[in-house]
Amino acid sequence: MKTPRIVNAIGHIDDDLINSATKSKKVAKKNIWIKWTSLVASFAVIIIVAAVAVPTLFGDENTTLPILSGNNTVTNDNGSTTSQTINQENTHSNNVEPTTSGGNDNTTTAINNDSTTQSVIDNEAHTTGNSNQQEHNTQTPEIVAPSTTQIAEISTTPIVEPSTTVSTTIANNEEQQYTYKDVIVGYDTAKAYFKHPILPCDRNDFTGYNVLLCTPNENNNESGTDCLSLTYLFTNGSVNLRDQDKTGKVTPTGKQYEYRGRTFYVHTPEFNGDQLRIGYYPSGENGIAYQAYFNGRANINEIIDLILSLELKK
Amino acid sequence: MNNIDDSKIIELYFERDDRAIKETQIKYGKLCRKIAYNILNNYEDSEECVNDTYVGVWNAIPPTRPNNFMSFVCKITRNLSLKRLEFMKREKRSADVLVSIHELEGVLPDEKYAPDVSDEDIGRLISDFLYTQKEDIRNVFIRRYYFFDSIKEIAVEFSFSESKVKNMLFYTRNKLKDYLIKEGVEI
Repeated sequence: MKTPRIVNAIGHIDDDLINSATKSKKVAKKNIWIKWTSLVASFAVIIIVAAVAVPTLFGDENTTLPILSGNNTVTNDNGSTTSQTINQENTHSNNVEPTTSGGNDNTTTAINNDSTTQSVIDNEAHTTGNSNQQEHNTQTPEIVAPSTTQIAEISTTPIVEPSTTVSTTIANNEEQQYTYKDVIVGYDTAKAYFKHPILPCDRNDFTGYNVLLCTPNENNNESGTDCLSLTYLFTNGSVNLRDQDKTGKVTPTGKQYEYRGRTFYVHTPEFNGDQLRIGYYPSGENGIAYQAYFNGRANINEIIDLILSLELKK
Repeated sequence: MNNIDDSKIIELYFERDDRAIKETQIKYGKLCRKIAYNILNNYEDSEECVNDTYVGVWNAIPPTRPNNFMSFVCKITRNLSLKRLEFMKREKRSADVLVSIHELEGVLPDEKYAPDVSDEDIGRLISDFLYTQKEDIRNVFIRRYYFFDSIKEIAVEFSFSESKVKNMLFYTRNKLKDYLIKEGVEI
């Protein structure tokens, strides 16, 4: 066999090249576990950050009424004991989906909304065993302001159903209990309860005023009752005026939206369950917070104009 | 064991001191045996080649004073081993080294050598070409075609996969071929 010339020619390459090749050091192989572990860790961090950040950015306010925490039992006006999930603001009466389980005496009602801070009001064990006593504790007919005629006026609207007027007994601790009640009222009554100079609404799609009343259980009269919020009800949504001095501050969330020289916070439908939500906080953490909930197809500017038309005059 | 400097070994050769061969054996014996075995694939033949290398170095120094003693020794071992390979029976030849030689032959077949071009000229051009390549590629190429290491050995040494080593060699050969054509040494 004859050795090809190029094989001999390579024998004449520079000494430095040969030296370099003999001294070439082993390249440290990258540990694939380190690579994958760091990748997985990064991904986990992203997930955690997203889990924390997304509800803050796109969810509802993270504020809760302090008195709404804890185990809660609900008794309807008709005396039946219920197990419920209740919106912290108790203003979205249009989201009430009552379902009945068992006999006439035991009704389970789920009040659903998109809030991240719902209070889950328990529970059958809580309600069935002591139902008679709870009925006695929670029936406070003297603070139920609306007359039957007022309820009848709005009962035909698609938003409010008569069954949404409930009283809620919440055991915040052993000593203190509160009773909550969503009540549909007229303008004068709403103004009297809310204790702010609210403006009347004469829009065609306006259907009524809803007030959220709260009273300590011991006070079985109207003098101890607080009105936490007032809601203007409309065919396709509602505007809620929340008294932050009574309920605690509302943390503005959503995308900032400047309109008419003011700042609003908008949750667009794609992030808010096909619901347009606009927040307006003219006096910051105190005073009245305005929140509008409307059908996702509603015009943002029109809703804002509506909010501004209902803004309390200083 | 502390190895003495190459310059001192060379001095020993110049002094015609027998310790020169012993020191060479201590310092480069293993490397020489490796080269010889890679080419010949036979321990006895490679050992004979290594011994011939010492004799060759003894005869070359003086008068030669190599700048790089290690590569000087390696070259002698390589040349002697390749010469011995020519006379080995076909069945005794290593398939791996034959593949390497065949691959190299594909870069510049003997019949395509331009006239008046010496092996030294080609060697210089190949050096120039290799200097333009990345260090990894350059070293893999030299380990394969100068030292005749197997693909597996190179892959382990450089922590590459065998297929990566093959790919590197394939692309380097092609580039070298293009380079030699461009330089006018291949007709």
